Amino acid sequence: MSRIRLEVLQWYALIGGALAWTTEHVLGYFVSDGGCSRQVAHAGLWGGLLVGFAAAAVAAAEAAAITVYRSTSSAAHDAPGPDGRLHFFAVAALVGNVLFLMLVGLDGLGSLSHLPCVQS
Amino acid sequence: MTKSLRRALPLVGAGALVCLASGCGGNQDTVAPASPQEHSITKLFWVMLGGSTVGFALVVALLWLGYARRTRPGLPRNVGDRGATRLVVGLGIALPIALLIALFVWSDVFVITSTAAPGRSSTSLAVDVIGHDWWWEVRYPGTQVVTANEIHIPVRTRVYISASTADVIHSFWIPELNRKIDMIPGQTGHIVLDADRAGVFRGQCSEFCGLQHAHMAVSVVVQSTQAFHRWLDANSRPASSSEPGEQAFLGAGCGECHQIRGTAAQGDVGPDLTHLELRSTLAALTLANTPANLDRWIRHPQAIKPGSRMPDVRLSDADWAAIDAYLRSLR
Amino acid sequence: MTVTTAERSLATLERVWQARPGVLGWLTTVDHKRIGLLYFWTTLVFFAFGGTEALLMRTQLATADEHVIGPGGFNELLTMHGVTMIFFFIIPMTTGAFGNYLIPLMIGARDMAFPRLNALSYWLFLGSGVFMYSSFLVHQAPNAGWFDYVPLALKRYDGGLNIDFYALGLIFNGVSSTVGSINIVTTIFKLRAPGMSWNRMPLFCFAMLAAALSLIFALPALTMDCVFLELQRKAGFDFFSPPGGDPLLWQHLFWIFGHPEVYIIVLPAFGIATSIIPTFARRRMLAFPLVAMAELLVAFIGFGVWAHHMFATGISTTTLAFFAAASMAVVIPSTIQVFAWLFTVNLGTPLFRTPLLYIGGFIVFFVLGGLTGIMFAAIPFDQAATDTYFVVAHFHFIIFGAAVFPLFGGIYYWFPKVTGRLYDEQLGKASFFTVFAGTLLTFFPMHIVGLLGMTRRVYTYDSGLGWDVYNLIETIGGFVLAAGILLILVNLIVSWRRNLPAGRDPFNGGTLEWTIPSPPPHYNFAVVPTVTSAYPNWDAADRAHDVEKLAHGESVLADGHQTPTSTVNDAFADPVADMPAESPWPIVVGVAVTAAFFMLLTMHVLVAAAFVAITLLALTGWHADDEDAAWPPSRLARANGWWGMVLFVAAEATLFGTLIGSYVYLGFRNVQWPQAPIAKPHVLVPVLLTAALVASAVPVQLAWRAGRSNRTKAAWRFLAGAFALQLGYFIWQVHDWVDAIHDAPPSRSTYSSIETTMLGFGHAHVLLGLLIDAWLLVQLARRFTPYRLVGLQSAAFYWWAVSVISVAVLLTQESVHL
Repeated sequence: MSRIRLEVLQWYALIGGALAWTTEHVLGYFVSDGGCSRQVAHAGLWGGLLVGFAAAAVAAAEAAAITVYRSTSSAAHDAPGPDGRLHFFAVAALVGNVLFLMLVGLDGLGSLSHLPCVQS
Repeated sequence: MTKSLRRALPLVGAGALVCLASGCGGNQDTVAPASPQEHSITKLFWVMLGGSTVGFALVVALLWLGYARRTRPGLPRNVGDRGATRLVVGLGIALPIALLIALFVWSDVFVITSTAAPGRSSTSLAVDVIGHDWWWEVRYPGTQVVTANEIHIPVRTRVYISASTADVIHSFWIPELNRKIDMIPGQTGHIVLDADRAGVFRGQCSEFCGLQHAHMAVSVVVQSTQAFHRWLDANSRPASSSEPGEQAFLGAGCGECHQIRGTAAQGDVGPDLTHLELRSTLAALTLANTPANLDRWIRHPQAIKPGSRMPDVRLSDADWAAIDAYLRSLR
Repeated sequence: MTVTTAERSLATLERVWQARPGVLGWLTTVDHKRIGLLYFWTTLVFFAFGGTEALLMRTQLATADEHVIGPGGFNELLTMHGVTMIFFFIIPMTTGAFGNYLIPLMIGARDMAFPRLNALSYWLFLGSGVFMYSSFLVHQAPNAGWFDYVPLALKRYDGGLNIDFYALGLIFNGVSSTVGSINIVTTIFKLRAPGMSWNRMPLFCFAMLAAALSLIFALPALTMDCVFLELQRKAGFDFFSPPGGDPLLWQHLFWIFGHPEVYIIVLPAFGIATSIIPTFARRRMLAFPLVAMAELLVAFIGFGVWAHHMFATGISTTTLAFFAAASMAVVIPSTIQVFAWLFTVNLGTPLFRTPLLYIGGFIVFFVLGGLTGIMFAAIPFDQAATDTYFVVAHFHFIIFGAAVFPLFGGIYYWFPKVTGRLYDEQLGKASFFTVFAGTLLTFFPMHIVGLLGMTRRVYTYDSGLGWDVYNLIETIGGFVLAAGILLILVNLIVSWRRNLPAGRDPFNGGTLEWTIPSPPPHYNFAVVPTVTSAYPNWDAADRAHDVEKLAHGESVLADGHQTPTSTVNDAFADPVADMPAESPWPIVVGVAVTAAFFMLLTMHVLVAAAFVAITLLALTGWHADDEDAAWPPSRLARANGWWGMVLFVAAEATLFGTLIGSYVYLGFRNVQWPQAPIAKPHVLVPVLLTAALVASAVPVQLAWRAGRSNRTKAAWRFLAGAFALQLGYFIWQVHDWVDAIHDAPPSRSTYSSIETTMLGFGHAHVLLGLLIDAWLLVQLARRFTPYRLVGLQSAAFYWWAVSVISVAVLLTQESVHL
């Protein structure tokens, strides 16, 4: 695999899942909160779509992490850069994206399993 | 010293647990539930406490193991770096993820439905509670009843509480009956009170609200349906006092802040006093409502509750005696 | 005897880097070690203040119906205890003292990336501390809690200067922290010794990087919140009062800052733990990449949990679920670290000396506080237990047990490095056991008393609720704890006087600070260290190589204040950077800014403006001695200054994110928006003006390109053209802005309040860009230096950022037409 492709995959693996969750979380908050006034119609649908897209993006980030991890498996995690760094961040992203998947999943589960706009 | 401390700690902890479970505190005890809602919260707590205890014990055991085997490298059974890394992944990632998802589903999907705001139609009595600096106004919609710091409700009846504020943020909380709900300007919060036994349950403002935040307590008196209705009837009547102290009361300006239904006193800064003598406490549960305390409170409110909106007023002893007698006749 | 090359090099370094003697040397210092020590002693004084406040409160609460302190005094103590411990003790202690002192030593640098900015952040910190504490002198200390909820903090309920001290003091303190954090991040990005790619960076630096980044992105929310509060208090704007405004806006913004803050507080503690554990376990950290990732993740996810402080406010269940989910997930990075620490200790052959004992205490308390933390992610339990002493117990185990224990451990651990003397081990152990027992006694009973219904922030309580005995134990514990902390101080003084030499490496530590003498020389490293792993001091061959390099006079870099720089990702060697020497300007700016804040407090706006002008003048003096750097520029890589600008812009973009988010939030809460009878904003003129502003970024970019290829005149002309366009934009926009304020005064509606504030901040950023342009134009007309080139490059980036921000503001403003 080319160096540039690896670089792109590694950075996507490291921050793609994080950004996907951030987007889903912040927009999801505004949709669920704004859905209770006149501004947002179909809040539930929007929320569901957000969760779906974010979950796909996080899954792709995990796949990228696996790819980079396999391609650099010969490097120890303190090998010199860029190989060592690629491998190091791939390991980190492997764990990180599992967490982001959990986050997106729980966001979806929690917000979609209750009626909207009912005071807690 | 440290050894004895270590030996004493579990004992203290166990003692505290027994104490908590048996409700050794007063009548403001979070884990002494008296309603279905609080039962579910308390159950949630005990299960979480159990899980936490196991987790904590595991960590302390591993610390102790590190100390006990400090001269020998590696873990027991020759587990090396690879095995230990797997343990980190298993104990630090996989296991907690599973447990946390389970907790999330149980508490934040299911338990929460019982403590959330009730539908109005699922309840059979409504009470409005309005937070003031530093006391609680209590109204029974559909009746004339206005009282303060003492909420009477019938037992085994779902009561719809509407909580709002007249000034800053307060928070309404009766620990043995349900969760708390903040009283925030511009909105009204709702919770259900559904006591499963009669009794007096204490609560306290739980959002910092300034100088006398500490002296803003409230009690919920849960009584039989008949007793409740007797109380409601008594409280819906206007004041009927023949005591001459009414003029002294109005003359001292008390009516600027307090209301006594059926008189010229129509203020709305302090509590309604129409049936003051039916209440068991004064100044939001700061004092028991005894003649001596009443006299002390109206003469020196700033000494008892510094910063309270009720001013120290200078009157003759005769006037004070007349006001005392008048207030004590309000029943 | 002949002088060897090594001795000659060391003598040259000594001469080049020697400090000015006496007090003046300390006042003008830019040495990260001296600034670190200034931070250390100053924050210790604030720690003593905060601790005294705590003991006074505990004395009042020792028994029921106590009358030691009245409610007014108690509320001031309560507020100042929180404010002090968080803003004037832990953050400056961890980032300012430990971060400043240790980061350059761990990454093989000779100073921080911006030495003068570093001094400035200290003087601003000191100024903000003096500002905040002067409130006690006028008997108007902040008194609405450190969380300062409105409407309690509004003028109607709190009419004195108390809250103004709070809001302005925190804005002021935030400037200092932001400046310091930008410095830390740039230092870690750019000044790592060649070879120290990300995967070889010490975990302490990962933790500090995560904390500093969090500060950069979290502080703007607090700053904006305090700006809203001051505008409402002093200028009659309306953000927080219904029906137009919303008191919950304060809470949202406060906790968007406030929860990341908790992780900011505890991250450096993780970093210290991951330094001490490998040293005393005598082996590398297990699962190194996972621990590094965990430190970054905890900071990141920490931004998504804010509303779990608001579970009882009645926000809808669907919305709360988002924050409960994040509050569950944020636990995982911590469980990873806890088990990595525990198994590292188990795999190694640990020496249980004082620093490791403190880390053991830290793990116990961190797990204790963490487990109760999980309970608060279960919404129904949180709604029951929040605002009781159960919470007080929970978070004190985290921000005292978990955050401060490692600080104590770290003080013992690095005492030999900083002073060159050994600490007293017996006294150290005694202090640990006392502090440990004191902490348990003080905070553990709070769990029980909280479950028994004792609410927080009460100045007194009734007897007969079962709380008395626990409160008494807590108070006794508080004094035991204080005694233990005094023992630490005694140990430091005794050890200092005993003067047992420590040598360069008394514990066989793994990181680079142990490769150099104790105390470190002014230049830190005699040669650029060779780094091939995350524990370079355990790589004997590399250390031998360093000695060899020194013997041959290689990589000594003694031609002025030089330090090596490297590429951000893989730390390949970049050109050498010239660092500034002592400068009087940081303290001058610090004093002027402090004076400006005092004038703002008392509403002497014109005098405040005069002090701001003095600040600007001082800033031009600041750069006056950068003229001698050589031309053509040696730096082809993106320079430190550019990175500093990027991070500054990141903070500012977050500020605008906060503003735009607040606009949307308030818009959602008003059925009619803009509120009648205010007209909707114009479309055509703002769109055209914004287009012109975006277009003006092009000539700035061209100016930089021209400068890079040494076409000085062309660079000047491009910049002048851009300046003219931007000035025209600014004048037109400000004119319209003033008109709009006149037509729809912000005091009349929430819409006008947020609109005026948002546009005002936009225009202020254009004004700042104009000042940068003007300064560059003057400098370019005089002489072109590499420093100016970085200036141009940064200005180009700044204008692109302002363009993006202006478009975002425009879209927000025009969204009412949808």
